Amino acid sequence: LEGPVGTTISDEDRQKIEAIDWLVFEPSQRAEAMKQANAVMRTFIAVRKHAAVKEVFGKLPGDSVDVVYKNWQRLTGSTDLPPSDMNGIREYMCMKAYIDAIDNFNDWFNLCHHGKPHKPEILTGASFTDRVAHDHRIKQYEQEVDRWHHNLMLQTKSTKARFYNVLLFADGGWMVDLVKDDEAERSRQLQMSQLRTLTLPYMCSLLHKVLHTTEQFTECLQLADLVSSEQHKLYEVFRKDELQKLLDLLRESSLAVLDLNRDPLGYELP
Amino acid sequence: LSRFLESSDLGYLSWLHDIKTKDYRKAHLTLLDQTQQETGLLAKKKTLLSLSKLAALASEDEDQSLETNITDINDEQNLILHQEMLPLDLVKGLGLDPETMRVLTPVELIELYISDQNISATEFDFKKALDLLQYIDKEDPVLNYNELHLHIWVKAVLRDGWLQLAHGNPLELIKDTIFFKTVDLAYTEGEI
Repeated sequence: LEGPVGTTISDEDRQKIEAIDWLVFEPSQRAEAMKQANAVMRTFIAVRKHAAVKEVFGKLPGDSVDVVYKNWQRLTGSTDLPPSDMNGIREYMCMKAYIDAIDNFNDWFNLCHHGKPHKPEILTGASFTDRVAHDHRIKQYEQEVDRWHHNLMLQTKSTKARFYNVLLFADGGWMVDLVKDDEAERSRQLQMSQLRTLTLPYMCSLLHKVLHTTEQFTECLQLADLVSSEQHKLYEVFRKDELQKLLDLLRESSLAVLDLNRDPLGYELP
Repeated sequence: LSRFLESSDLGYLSWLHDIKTKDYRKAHLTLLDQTQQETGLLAKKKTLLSLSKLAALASEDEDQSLETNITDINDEQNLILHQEMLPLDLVKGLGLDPETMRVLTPVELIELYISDQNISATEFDFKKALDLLQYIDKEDPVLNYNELHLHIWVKAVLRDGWLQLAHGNPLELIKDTIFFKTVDLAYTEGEI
């Protein structure tokens, strides 16, 4: 993993994104627009084109959920949406959680790797006044590092929360429909479950990176609790080789924490 | 190296070596062994169990013994969940910190759920106590399963001041008692 994820958009992508404009034009078709936008976002997430996902999401006005409810109420007098609209809205929320998480990760990445202040250097044989000036710059630098570290920890905290939002998405999990829709397209169901298997293990490894880089090793190892829990059953979306890779990552964290003279899970040695 | 790790008191490190050498079955077993020794910290026991389960799931060989172990781990995880779900006020009232709680036994958990110190106990707390009975060995003479079972129901009955209930329609009034609600809950979940 070299940098912020999924920043490129091709011309073809651009066409798909702009097609959504035509769908949001008429408010009465908002439910359909949302479903189509979801479908386009699914394909972008599958190829990890994050910037493109975000643009599609941005095409839907912020009040879209509200509009869908109001349209239905005007049409039928009821607030109970049909299953396909319910699922569409839930999927839209899943998209939002995903976008927030990756945005936060990218901000974290930039802050962590490019935001770090540079240590002032001094030439050998510098004059007395140069050395005094240098001491002053070092002090400033140390303050900047403190500030940077503080910001990084804040960003880490927010990133962590956003990742848990996706990994522990309420009521059954991310990209899982809440209501059964007998008329649902098979392909949508398939794509959603494929997105779970593609995305969730990947997000676990990103979260591990965030926690490991910021030396929160005990929490790294607690990712095992998250993945193995029977309530969320995340382990089911991992292939065997992915589980093995995860164990390798956890092992690295464990070795790092052993170097700090703690036990393999980061607790005080007895 | 692995023999060295096993033979000395460095057993708690050997799973790291097992993962490195891709022997996931062995990692699973050494971790499982560790969990049984861990009574100090709940959070630590939980993570050891989780790692052991992941190692079992990551193992290429699929056989009955691994599956039985995973089922056992699930039971243990469920027990830990019961401890984590103890009402926060109750835990704090006992001077425990949820982060550094020690591992409580099933009997201790039952007693806590139904204790008078659990001031805001509802039918769900009593139901949890009943659920926890599955972790009690029926044959164990010291624990006495039946007595414990009865004890939970006695506590449920005693939760309400029955004397104040005397006026009005008894069938309606009784519906507000913890005892009735617990019976109702247990009944609808098909356990009576």
